[in-house]
Amino acid sequence: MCLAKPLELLTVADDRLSGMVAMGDSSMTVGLDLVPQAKPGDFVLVHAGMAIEVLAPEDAEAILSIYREYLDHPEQVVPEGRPSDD
Amino acid sequence: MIDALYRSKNLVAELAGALTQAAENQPPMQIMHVCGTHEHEIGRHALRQLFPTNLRLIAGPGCPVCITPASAIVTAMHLAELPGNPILCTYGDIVHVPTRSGSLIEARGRGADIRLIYGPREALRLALENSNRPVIFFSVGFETTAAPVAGLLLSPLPKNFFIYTCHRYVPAAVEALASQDEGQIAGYLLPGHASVITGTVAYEFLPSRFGKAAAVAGFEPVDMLSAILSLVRQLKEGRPMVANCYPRAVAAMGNQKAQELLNRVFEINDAAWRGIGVLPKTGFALRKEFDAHNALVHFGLGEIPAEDLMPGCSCHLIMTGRRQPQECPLFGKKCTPDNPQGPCMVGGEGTCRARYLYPEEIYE
Repeated sequence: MCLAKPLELLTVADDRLSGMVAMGDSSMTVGLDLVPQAKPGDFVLVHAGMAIEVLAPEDAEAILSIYREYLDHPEQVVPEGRPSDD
Repeated sequence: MIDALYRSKNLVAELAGALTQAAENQPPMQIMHVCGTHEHEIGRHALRQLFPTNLRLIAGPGCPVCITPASAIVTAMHLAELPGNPILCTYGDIVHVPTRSGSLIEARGRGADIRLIYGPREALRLALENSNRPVIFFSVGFETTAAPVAGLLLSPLPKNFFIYTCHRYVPAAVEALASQDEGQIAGYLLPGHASVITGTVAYEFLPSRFGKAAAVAGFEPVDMLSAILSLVRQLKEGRPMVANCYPRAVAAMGNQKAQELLNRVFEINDAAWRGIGVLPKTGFALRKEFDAHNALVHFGLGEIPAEDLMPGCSCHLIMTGRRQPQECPLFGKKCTPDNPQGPCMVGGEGTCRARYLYPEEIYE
């Protein structure tokens, strides 16, 4: 339950209470209630569908590289935070 | 293979060397973590193998599913089985936690409509999609989970959305543990993501009132080893403090927006922790303004009393560091992840489950 992962915020809804984050090839809506300062392009730390903090991009990148390490062919992974080309 | 920064072999080796050096000629030190994810990550990376022999890290009550009282689970089962065809939604781990009256997953087997969700927003979606049925969100967890719930409750809610909350506040529980401690625990490894909400400031009482070392840790090997090294150095130098070893996510004052939302929605009360008993000021109780969505108020129910301890189970001792999983007669025999007898064997954060999955260390 304490797991949280850094994801790039792609869009912010008009009411600023939610936004869309990229997860590899897919995307997900997350709550932004706790990070009203978050803006598209920021990396947010997402816990249970809610962003709980905004991270520095270099820190987020270092954490994401660990997730990529899980895969045998990290070079083939669509980098998190980038919308897929489909 | 990428040598990721927070998992770098070189950094881990350096930290392990520094840890051994710092602990040299020191008396035996026992430290406690209060985060189930720490236990799992420490086990998964076999970090205890890198510890000097005079350092022992034990698990405290850091698994939110494990400390949820049996009475809350039994009450949630009752809510799910009320007439009127309600939907009860909750997190995946809690449905498998056994009580003497069964578990939520067993209630589902009897026909109750119990849905698993990933986060609070999904509970709201369920309510919007099922406007002719009551949707009850059984929400458990520490402040990391309570803060998003507070945000949700302050947004517009449909009339058929109800919540039954059982949230707990970690700093007050650590304070209760520290005040009962008779010198067994020299320092605390503090939870990373709960501290994102509270900040390090919430734990200042550890060095100032109790003289305990403290360090907030993230969840990668480098994060956890740096925090443990900080604890050992604090003890060696006799200068306890609250070190922030997870600064990329945790600020000293925490997420103040989250704290504001928590204060608007909840008031702090004394609350029960499974098998441990009532700990002062550790509960988040819904304020009266939210009665219209408070499941207990709406359905006119009180919490149903239930016995926390399962027959033969040692979870209450394991959650307070007084026993190790391997010392429980049920561990790995009658009690396994497939057939858990107590809460600590159930979830992704339970100490027994972690020790069962990563059995590299044998405590003598």
